[in-house]
Amino acid sequence: MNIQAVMMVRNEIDIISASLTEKLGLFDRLLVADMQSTDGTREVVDAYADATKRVDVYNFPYLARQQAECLSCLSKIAFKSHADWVFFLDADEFLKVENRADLESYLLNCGSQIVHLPWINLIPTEYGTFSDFDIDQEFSWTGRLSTYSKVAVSGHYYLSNPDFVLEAGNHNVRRNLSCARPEDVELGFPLYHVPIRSVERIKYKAANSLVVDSGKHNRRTDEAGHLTNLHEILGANEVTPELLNGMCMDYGEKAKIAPVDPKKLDWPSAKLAIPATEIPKLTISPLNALGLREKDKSKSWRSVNQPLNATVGAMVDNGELILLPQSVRGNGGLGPLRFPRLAPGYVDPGVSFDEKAILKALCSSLIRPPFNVFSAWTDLVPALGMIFSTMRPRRFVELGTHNGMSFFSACQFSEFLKTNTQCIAVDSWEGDPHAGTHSPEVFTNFQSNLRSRFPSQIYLRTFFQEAAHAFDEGSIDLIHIDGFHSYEAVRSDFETWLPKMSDRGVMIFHDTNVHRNDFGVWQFWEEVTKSFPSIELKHGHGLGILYVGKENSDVSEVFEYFRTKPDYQTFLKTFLEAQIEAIRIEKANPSNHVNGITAERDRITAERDRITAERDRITAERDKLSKLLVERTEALNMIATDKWWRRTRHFRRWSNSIRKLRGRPKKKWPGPVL
Amino acid sequence: MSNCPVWIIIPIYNQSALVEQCVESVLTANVETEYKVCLIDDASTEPEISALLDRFEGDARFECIRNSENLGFTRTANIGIRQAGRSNPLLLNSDTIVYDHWLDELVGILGSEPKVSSVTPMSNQWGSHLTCYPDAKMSDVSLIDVPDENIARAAYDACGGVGTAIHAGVGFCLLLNRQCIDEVGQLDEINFPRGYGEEADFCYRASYLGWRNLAAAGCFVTHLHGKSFGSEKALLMETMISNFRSLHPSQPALDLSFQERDPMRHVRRRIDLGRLKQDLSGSSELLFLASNQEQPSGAPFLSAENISSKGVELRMISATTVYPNIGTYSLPIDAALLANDMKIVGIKRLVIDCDTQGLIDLRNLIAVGSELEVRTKEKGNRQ
Repeated sequence: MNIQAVMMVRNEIDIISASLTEKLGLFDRLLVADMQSTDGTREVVDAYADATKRVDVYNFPYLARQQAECLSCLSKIAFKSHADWVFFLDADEFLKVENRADLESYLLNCGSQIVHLPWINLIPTEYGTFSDFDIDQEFSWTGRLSTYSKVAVSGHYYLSNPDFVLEAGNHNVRRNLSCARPEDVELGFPLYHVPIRSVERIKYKAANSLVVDSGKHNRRTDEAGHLTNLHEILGANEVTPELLNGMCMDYGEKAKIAPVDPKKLDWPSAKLAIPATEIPKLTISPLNALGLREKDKSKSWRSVNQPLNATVGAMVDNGELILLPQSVRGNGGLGPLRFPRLAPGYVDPGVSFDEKAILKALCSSLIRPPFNVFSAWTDLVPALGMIFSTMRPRRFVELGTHNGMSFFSACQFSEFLKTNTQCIAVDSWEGDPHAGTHSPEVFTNFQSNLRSRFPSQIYLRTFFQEAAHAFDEGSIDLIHIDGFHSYEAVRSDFETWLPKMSDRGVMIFHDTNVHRNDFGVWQFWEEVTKSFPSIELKHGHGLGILYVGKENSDVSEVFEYFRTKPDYQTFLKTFLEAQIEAIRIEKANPSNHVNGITAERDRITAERDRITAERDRITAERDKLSKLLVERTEALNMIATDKWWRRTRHFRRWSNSIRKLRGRPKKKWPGPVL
Repeated sequence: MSNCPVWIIIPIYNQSALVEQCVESVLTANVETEYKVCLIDDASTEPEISALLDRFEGDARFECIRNSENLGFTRTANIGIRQAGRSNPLLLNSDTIVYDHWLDELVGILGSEPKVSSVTPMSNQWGSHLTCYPDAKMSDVSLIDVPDENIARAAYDACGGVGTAIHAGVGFCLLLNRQCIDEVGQLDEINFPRGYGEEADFCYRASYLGWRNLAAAGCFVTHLHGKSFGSEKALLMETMISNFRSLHPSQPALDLSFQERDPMRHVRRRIDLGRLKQDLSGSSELLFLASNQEQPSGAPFLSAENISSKGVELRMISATTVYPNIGTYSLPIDAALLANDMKIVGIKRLVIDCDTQGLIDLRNLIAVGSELEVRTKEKGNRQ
């Protein structure tokens, strides 16, 4: 059995040796992300790595609490090296198992693909100093497991859910990003947790967490609240060991914190069994919190600029963990973190540009994507069809997707024309002054449409600048730039993305024909067309098509063709403009088209259902009546053949005679009157 | 401090008559296990309690503790647990009555597996929400009218040494494992100061760490429930339940699953059989009514075809009112069960109210593989 653990550490010199010793005794391999420790933690981890060759250390140069993303990335490295189980642990967590054999037998018998390890928050008898803590001392605890648990994931789970994501805090996992609910919690063996070792340490930790939290993008409102809470309490009170005890006992829970003396309460005790280690203890000059904070500042920290709720992924690059925007598929699966370079010199074998290809393009422009989100872009959809049919892009990127009219059209054309285009929508979905600030529904609608219709296409929720990091040079065939429309913004988008274009790359710009307010695309378009081959459509706010690839590619041929034949170009534009009217009519008069037919079908279906129900009702009624008829007939026959009925016929006759005398009508008796 | 295996801790608050009855039953019950009784007076207001404690003060089997102020059940019980030292503490409410062999059974079940955190005995209809007899539901009215002493004897005879896993213990009479207390701590005085819920909380905490809570099927303890707290009870229960659910969110699901699985139904059946054996007092014959879909309501004639095609249901006369957990045996499915039950009860001959022709087939259904003799009821005796 191969059991590995991933952990993230930052300045934990007081406990790191004990923690690594314990974990190396239980796990086959440790993957440690070090958040640029300055107190010697890194040196200790390196020493263990050198001595055992079973510790991998990665530097994490961000002051951002993206721990879950980071550890997800490391866990996948572990799974790829055939780990049967991966544990997500912190330096201050110790497994409550006897030894490796005990751990293995538990995992073999647990029968679950995910194990949740609840905390036992340990209260030290004696608190240490900033850089020294006696881990072999006796601890006490409340006798009650914490409601928080850490998760361990099996290789089986990874194999069936390769896109699993770790929840913030390593408390649980979800099957994929679009899965709203985390996995059910099934408790395994507990973890001993030593959250508070000394006053200075917890103060330092709480202060740090405030800094780190501000750098996080997909932060929930309740997240890491306990540390903020602790920070306040530490600042407001005189810190006694009893108060620290109170903080330890329900660590992480927002219960009111009161001083506690476990001795008086007779709480159970516990001891960590840390095996002896052969790795020599490093002599690290002790630091205090203040000195450490100064040292932290001297490190160079990378920053990430992400919109709120962005999905962030991590990758390992040269011993460092790099945060990248994480692309997400329509079905909630994880897309690639990096989009690789496309093969240069590519020519689609099915396409050479001549009149036949023009006819094909004209036909493509007549395709109406049935999946419409009406917007300013609707009039340009035929043109996009034409572009797809002509150049058959391998990768299409859209900057500024909003509710996705043009993006979904592109996805549709990719499907209809079988171009196998990978479509990537890039947007922060936060809005801008031109498109208006988006309400959250814009994104959720886009997401649900993508999920239902194009589950394998991809979106990247981030800023354009960040998104560019995810693309290699020469990795995009077709890009649609429809972000913020000021001159500077378009120019900067153009410059950022130009190197990412392949040798047959085409850029399309929307709103080249808008001259109001501070729209500056027209100005930029005028400049850029001087140096690149281009075609501009004036309708639908204007669409600029710019060729930025090499000379003599299959696509450059097309631009050359239209440059030399301006009549054809004019014809094409007229043809596309003529279609606007057709689209208008369809939009205004949906009964002519699909909507009308759908409505008619629904009406007819409803009518059919009504008639079927009516028929069933009548049939049931008929059956009931015929049954009644049979019963009544039988009853009559019985009466008629009854001996006593026959014998009393005289009474009935007399009775009628008397009725006649009294002037009453003759009474009809059931059955034959004999 | 003492080395005897069990300390019976009886927290006392008033109700001297019940306390006396309880202590008397403990003293008179015939048990082999050594024990010591720890009476803790939680500052009772009735003077009789003090007199009662004085009476037992000198006795070597007793340890009497008097709280100077009223501490509540949980704290009082914890005092007893601390006082018990390394002995296994047994929490016994003062409104209970115990019978012969009770302690032997509880201690036996505690030692039957390596990690048993608590053992709960069976109790009467209104005594315990998990282990009540004869019905699974708690109610104020029992289905049967039998002295509890007889039930206790039947339980010991029929289910001695049988432990059934339950998800929590019930505090009216609960034997705790000292090693488990070392690991998870004592009862929670902070969240459950007055009692109600503290013992279940302990059992839940222990179960998270891999301990098991068992019910001792062979031990029956009467619990004169509801007299413990009087009018305060409803409010206590309400706050306890909300408190408990916030600490143990799985509680409703576990309770529901317990009700649906009803693991105690086998135990209740066995106790019924034990009582049946008592009632038969050595007789080796038992009268059954046979019926099936074709011939309902115990009609005396069952044709051979009927029996072979539809099977037969055998029912003891008036079984549902006297032995509510035995019910009917539908043959041929329950043939082995019937044979086994009759063996437990000590019956060698079944007397069945049916005609001779059907009997041959009936005999085939019942007696295959068993030593039971099947006979028709004498013609003259037919009702």
